[in-house]
Amino acid sequence: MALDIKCEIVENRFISGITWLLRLKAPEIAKEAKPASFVMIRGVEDYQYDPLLRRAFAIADIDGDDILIFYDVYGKGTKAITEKKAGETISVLGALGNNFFPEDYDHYVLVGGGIGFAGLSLLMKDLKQKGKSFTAIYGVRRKEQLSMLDWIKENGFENDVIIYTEDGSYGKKGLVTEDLEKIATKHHNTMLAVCGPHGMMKAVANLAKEIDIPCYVSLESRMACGFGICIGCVVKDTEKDSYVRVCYEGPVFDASKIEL
Amino acid sequence: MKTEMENNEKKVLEYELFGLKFKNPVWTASGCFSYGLEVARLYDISQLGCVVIKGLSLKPRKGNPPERIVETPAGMLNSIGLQNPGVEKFAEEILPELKKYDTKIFANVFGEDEEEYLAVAEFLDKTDGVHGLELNVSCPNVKKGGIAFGSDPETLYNLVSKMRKLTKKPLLVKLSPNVTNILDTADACVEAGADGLVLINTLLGMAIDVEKEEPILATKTGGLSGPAILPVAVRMIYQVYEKYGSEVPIIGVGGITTTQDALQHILAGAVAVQIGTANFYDPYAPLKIIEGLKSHVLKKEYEHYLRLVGKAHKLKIK
Repeated sequence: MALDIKCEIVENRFISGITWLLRLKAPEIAKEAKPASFVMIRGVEDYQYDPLLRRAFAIADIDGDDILIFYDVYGKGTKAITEKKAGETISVLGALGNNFFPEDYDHYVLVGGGIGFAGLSLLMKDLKQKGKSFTAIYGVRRKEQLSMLDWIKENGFENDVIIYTEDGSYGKKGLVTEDLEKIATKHHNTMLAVCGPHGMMKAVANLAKEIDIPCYVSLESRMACGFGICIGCVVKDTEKDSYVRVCYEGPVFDASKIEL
Repeated sequence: MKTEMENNEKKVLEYELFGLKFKNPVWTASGCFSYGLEVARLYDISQLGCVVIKGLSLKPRKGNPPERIVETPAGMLNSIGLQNPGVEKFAEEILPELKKYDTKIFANVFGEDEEEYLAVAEFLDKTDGVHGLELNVSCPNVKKGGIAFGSDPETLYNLVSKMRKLTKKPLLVKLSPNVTNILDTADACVEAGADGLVLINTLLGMAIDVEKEEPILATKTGGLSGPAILPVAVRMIYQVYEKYGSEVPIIGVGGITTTQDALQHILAGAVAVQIGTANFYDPYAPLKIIEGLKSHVLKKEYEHYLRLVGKAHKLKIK
């Protein structure tokens, strides 16, 4: 059951590039959240109408009663959130989403692009806790966009994540798809979990199709509500030839069954 | 003693309309509440005065391709395109669940042509659990039907007259603000026998992506809703109430987020209000408004909220 809660901000700070980190005290949401769960946040006061709508963010990590959100600042909705200070409260609706990553594979290959890695970090933690075998790939254009690098180190995932930068300024040079075929075909009963920019997800999904490996994508979309009532955030279900809601039937979908 | 007081407090918002007893005048607007069940996961929707469900057509409708929504200053544009499972599937699969809640259910009726409109109305007339119909002749996001029926008084009169003959259930018509004179379409509905008017649907608008240099919505235009349209709704309600007074019940919709907004609609002449876009950014808005109206009526020492309906008309402009 999702709740609309005024959460206390524990921390809200700039990380790098255009990315900020928001740590919220949200015990109810922390208890409910699963990998790929998301929240809808409104950074302005109740009586302020511009920006009007909440913004959707993946829950990147759960730390006791706290949830962590890494967010890119693009427009007025996210800008408003940066102006909130620790100790203040902010309106949070969550935990949202109804469809998550399958749990019955032997090996997981996580592919995160840019801020999309924050949509997979909780899955990575979950897999490690459950003792499951996985490989994580984190790709960005330039080094300063590796906003989750500190988190990766602090949480002891350095040896689990392969980092790619397009300009070669950190880790391996190239795109996340660079060695993906080799990585994804190394273990039996493997699935891909993908989150990132549209073009990247499409490229990974296409490759997955070619090498015949199941691929699940965690999508983001323009959302007005985040809990299924506006029918605005749809993606095409190619099997049923109908539009399904990213927020309600998702956010995770089998890439072979939707139009990316 | 306390119970008696609580009972009286409750009663200040209860009212009877179209032969139905409503708990309170706070309804949820069609297209902003899906079919209610998603919200039922957030709170008990039995607390609402009425749920107006998302528009139903005879056959399932896929809806428009994305992008379907875009935020605008103090509002948003939508172009969903009336995606719905069709009236039969709704009655079979969704209504049995929805009926379990102790609130009134009004169905929003849509058709691409007159035949489809009438078929949907006929079906819903025979459907238990649907208490009333809201005719959607104002959706700006479909190629056929919708606004095409709602902008021409004669076409509207013909459709409403035929629908009137098909159903004894309360028949409301949701009017489009995209007309020169709202009284022309309001008159047509009243003459054709509508039980009430719902004012207003969305205003036609457009937003352009300046980087891509093209309209953001896939259908280019969409319906503007949210706080930005509040004064337009209040003005149109005022205009229609000025002509018909309490003879024709008006259900106000457009831009309501707070109790103060709802009161503006009521004072202009609305006997009930629908909460639309606010559900998206403030899911508990309808419940807050129910409580807020109750407190306001008690604070002002009115015996009932109905005393406020149309009260803003007491000052006559000479």
